[in-house]
Amino acid sequence: MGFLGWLFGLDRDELGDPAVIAGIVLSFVLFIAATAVMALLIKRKRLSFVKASLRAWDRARALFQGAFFVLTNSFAVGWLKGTVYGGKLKFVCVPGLGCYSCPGAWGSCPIGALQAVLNEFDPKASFRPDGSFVKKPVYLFAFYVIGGMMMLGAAAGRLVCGFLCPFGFIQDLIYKIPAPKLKAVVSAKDAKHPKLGSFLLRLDGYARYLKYAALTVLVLFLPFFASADPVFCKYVCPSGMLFGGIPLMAGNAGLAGQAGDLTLLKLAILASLVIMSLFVARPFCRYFCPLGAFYALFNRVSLLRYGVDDGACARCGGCSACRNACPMGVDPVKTPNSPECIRCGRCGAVCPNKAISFGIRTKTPNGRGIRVRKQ
Amino acid sequence: MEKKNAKTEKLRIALPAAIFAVGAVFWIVGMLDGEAGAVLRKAIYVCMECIGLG
Repeated sequence: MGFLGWLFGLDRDELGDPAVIAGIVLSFVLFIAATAVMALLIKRKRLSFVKASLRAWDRARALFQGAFFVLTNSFAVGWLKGTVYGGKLKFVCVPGLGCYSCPGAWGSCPIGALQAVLNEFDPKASFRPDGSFVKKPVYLFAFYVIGGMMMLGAAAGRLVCGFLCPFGFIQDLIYKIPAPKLKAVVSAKDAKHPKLGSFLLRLDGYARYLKYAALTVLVLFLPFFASADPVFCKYVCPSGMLFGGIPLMAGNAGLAGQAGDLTLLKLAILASLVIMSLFVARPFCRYFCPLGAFYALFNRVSLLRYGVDDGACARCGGCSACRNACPMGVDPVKTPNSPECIRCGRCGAVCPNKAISFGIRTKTPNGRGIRVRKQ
Repeated sequence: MEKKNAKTEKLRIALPAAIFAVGAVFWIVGMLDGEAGAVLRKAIYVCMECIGLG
């Protein structure tokens, strides 16, 4: 019981509660099932787009994303009792934007953790005798969280966005709902409204810089220098509302009773993104996600990366299948390692000549003219 | 040309490896400085700001 108590962050009294015992059993079941699904996908080589059709690839990726979500959010006691995991494992950050106030979360959100460290301040030095507040941070910088994110970024860039982020997964699922897709308006050569298409394309290009602003201002600058609040989490983060706010308020009447204007603001942001996701692929990842912005900085230099076999690509004379399949609007032939690429692998799966490869040395199955395109 | 390609290939692996190493050093420095404790202290309770309550 001692180890279970430590692992689940529960005391002796709580461990006697039948609902908690059921939660513990369910947690193990979910954890093992999710691990088994991921292991099977890897073992059967379903996560290699070299031989996969686009349909099979999309299915395998969705399955992996779902399994990883279940794995990292399988603390069933939290889901059953409307609480959060309070064990010692929570100092570990998950790779994607998964809120640490999600009832099932075993780990911490890197963006929330980053702000938590930057938020820490010395009250004695910060509150001046004249009543003014000048923040004196406790830590020099958030080395722990930034270091972890750097390691992931250096290894794989935005692969995390494509495979491991729960909020990205939700957006992917919503985008599958049949609805008119904005991409068709913007990218079709014979578009009925070419001026509107070109305007939207320009707007899309500029709006993508917003996520870098979110990272520098809302996640780094304000929480470190000016505010005692996690500004991004408090005023923007839709992931916190979806995975934390809604389930906690649904299962905990005390919390639901505290809902106010801020709750409405965050619900409105979440609802807007859900609606946008019907028409645009991954709107949050494209325009607002500070975590995606951070990983994007590493896409061009990461160890795992895309390569294009020029010889194989030329054989179909620029079919643009990869560009049309890309949810992020990247042209993989021109910029295979664009900062906007979430490394979902759709381009590699759809390519008729399998000219796109992913790995450290980016070998292609065709074996001719192998080289990584310059950025 | 081949020599240049080999050099570029080496750099392509050395650069992310160097960034990874810097990240690892940052991670350890942060751990030793007690930042992981700050993360844990925040994460084990419901974050009222994150869920739109505070």
